[in-house]
Amino acid sequence: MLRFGLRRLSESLVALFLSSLVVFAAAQAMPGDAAQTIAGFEGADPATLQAIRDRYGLDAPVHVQYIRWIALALQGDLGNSLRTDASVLGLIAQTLPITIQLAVMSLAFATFIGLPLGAIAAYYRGRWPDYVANIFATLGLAVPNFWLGLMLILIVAVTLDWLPASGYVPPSDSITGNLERMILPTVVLGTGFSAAIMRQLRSTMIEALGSDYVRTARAKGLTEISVVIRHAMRNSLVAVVTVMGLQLGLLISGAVVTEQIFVLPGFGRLIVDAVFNRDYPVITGVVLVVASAYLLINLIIDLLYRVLDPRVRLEQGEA
Amino acid sequence: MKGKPSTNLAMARISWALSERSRQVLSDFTRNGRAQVGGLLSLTFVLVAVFAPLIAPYAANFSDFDEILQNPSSEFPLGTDELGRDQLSRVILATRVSMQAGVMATLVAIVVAIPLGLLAGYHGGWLDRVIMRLVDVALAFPFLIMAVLMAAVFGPSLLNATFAIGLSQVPYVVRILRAETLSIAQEEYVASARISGVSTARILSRHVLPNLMNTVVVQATIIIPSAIIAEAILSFLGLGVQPPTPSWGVMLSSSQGLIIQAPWLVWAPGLAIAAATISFNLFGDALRDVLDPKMGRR
Amino acid sequence: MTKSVLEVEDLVIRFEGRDRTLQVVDGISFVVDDGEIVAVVGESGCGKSVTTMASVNLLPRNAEVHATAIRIGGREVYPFDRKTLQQVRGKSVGFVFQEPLRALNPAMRVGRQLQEVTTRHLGLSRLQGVQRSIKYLDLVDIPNPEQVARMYPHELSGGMRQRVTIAIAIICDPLLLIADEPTTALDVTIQAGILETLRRLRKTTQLSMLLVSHDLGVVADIADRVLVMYAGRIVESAPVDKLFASPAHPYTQALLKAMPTRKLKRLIEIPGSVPMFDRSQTACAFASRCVRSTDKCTTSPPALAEFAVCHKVACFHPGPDAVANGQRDSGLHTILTSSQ
Repeated sequence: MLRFGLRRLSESLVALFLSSLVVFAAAQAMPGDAAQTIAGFEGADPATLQAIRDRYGLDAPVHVQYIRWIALALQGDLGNSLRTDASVLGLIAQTLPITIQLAVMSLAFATFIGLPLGAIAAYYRGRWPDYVANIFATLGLAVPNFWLGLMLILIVAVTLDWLPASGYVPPSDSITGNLERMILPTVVLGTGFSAAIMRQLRSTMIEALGSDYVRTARAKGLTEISVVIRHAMRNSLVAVVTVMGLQLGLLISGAVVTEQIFVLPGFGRLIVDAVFNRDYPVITGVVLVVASAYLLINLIIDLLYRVLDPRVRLEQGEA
Repeated sequence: MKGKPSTNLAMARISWALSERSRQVLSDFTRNGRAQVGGLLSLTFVLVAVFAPLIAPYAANFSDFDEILQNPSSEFPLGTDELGRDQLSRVILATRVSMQAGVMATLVAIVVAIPLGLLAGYHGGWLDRVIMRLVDVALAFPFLIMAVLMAAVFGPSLLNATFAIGLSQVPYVVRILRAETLSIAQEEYVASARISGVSTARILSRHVLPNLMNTVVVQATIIIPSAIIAEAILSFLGLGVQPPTPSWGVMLSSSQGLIIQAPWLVWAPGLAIAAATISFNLFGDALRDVLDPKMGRR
Repeated sequence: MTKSVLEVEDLVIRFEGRDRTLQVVDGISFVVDDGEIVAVVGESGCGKSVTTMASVNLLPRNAEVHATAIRIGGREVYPFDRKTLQQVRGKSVGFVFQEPLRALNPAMRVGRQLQEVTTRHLGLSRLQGVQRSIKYLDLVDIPNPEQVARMYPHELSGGMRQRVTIAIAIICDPLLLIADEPTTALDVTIQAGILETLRRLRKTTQLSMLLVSHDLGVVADIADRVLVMYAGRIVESAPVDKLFASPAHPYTQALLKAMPTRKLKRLIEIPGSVPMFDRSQTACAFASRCVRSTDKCTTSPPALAEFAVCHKVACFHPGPDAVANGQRDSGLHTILTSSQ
């Protein structure tokens, strides 16, 4: 296990390095002269520009610039926003917790809905509970979450007036206020996820329920619940974790969209605003952070596999 | 047919198997209920996209400022927006954008993934490792982030968005094609072709590639609906299609602020996206069931 | 009178397919007495596996089981009700299946898979259950049982895995062990070891067994009594030595002739893989392939009747082979072997 972990870690580090190269290259390609940008939007005279270049080492060869950039990044210095001059890292630190809260709540929501539904659909395959669950899954996956968000706002917030339509209240100010405003976003973000989980679990569990080892479990006289949960479902969780990993990309885009609709000042909004405002340092910093986080999460998931399914070997992880 | 006898035999066997199978697949498919519904609906969307300018009653940007924010009526079945544009026409015309996105993203993904998957699976060794590391890097950038980067560097547009979507699918397709290639490469007829001295390029194109087509088609059916939604998301966020070009995502974005005054502006594009996605998903599901229930599982 | 461990009367099994229903077992009756090893033999598709699994309703959802009675250790288990079945399975009846790797949960340690049976039926705590598991692993001749208990199924060899499944089947000291092709998936050398273990178990624990096999060698090795099945019916039932010395049914005779030169190694199970011919209720199922068949054979089905002491046959023309012993009945042989 340790060897496996170390090897995966080294692979991740290589990927991280390469990814940083990509981000750096993109950053270099972004329009605008860096010196000009730093100097401000009014045209500065060539002497000032040159001074800036010297100061920031902007004339240095590319690989030196890269090393500087990485070194600074590792120390936490990702530059400053062009618009507000706030440190990029600070902006990220401000906005990330909100997005994380949303993500965690959505994942929990998705799991609590998706797993039981998937198990029920698999167990009652071909009969009405399966049919109903499948419709839910199809809709959940096809309905774009931003539309679902808008519809929910329309129905729940505007028409029924049960919950506030938008905005954010930090938990430190008011827990109820915070949760009130997080419910709809959670549902919006979590629905698609839960549909994906449900589908995958159903499919894997149908196979498991038809397998020889489940037949053995039944032949042992174990109760149906034991058989379904301890044998069939346990063994199907690996596939669900896979799906969760694959859905991460959608989770990010979903979070961005959800925050946009419900006006939550989270990480997603930070990205979108940065693109809109052509705030390149923010964009670059954010992308770097996201890519790194992604690689980290994928690494964790791979390690999780190993725990859940003792048969997984390194070769399987690559195949 | 020129060539060594063993390769001829192998080729004959493959083409016979493929045609026999294709016939079976076709008959299974056309009888499948989901295939019929999904196929019909998908075809409808494609046709609407192709003939959009002929079907839409108004041009996309025809604004009549006297008719701002009209409720749905017989004149404007889906109402008008804040610039007096007919929603129905815009929804119809936006179909083009979505279909384009779906097709192009799929093409990008396939064109990039096939050579990579083939080489990684067939050649193995260091080439395989390099390609897999590249795949890891691509995996670090979900489609949104890739679109953000492309928008930042090249400016937001449908083309860039489509590219980003396609590229983000590449890792998954490469992995699957690589695995397929690996198993095909172990088949006897490939080994015998290799021993007979057939060039790698020929082996890949004549023996391996045709057998991958099944998987490629299956992957395409997975990518298209995802691309439709992805394009909508990116356009919604301003990273894809730029107004005034109609796209369902763009329409939803501009409807946000008007949700109380004109809720109908929210209904139509959203339903269109959902309908298109469901259609292609159904079609893809049915196709996958028929080709191989277990194939292409990600 | 020795008590019967398993009694089955007029068992009928049907499978619902997409367009039609197939009757796979045509109303058979048999008994397994206390302490005996009964083997059920026949070609793939004759219904032997489903017969054994039907006794505790371990068949898939599309199967219909009807019987006049099914009794295990004297207890009525038919009509099936879930609770009774769950009590009987694992406790009164233990099962050993054909493919040990697939029959074991790949993500659960061996010891745990054993222990959960004891907790369920004997109320043992986890610790007690594990201790008992180790004891039974030892009983089935597994070396280093404490170590093996902590391992996963894929880490063990085929023979060890099958021993584990046997241990699981007997861990609650059941009355009956039902084994469906227990050695088919194993190497010949391992096979001998498993059979030896089963023999020893029978001697030490008075375990009764119902063994399904298409391998007559295994049957000759271990069984006390043999039931020969063909196309869903029992065509012959006899003590093992009588069956091999003087088989009365033409099908049995053909099987025995086919035995020395070829190991029948077909592993396909019904339903769905073997094309099922329509089973006529009005003729002997074997008639179309039988050298002795006459008009009578095609117009009414023969019943299982006494032929000699403890020896029953379902045939209108039972008895020793008319063809001279040294000469092979090539026609029959070809028909049988080509059907493999």
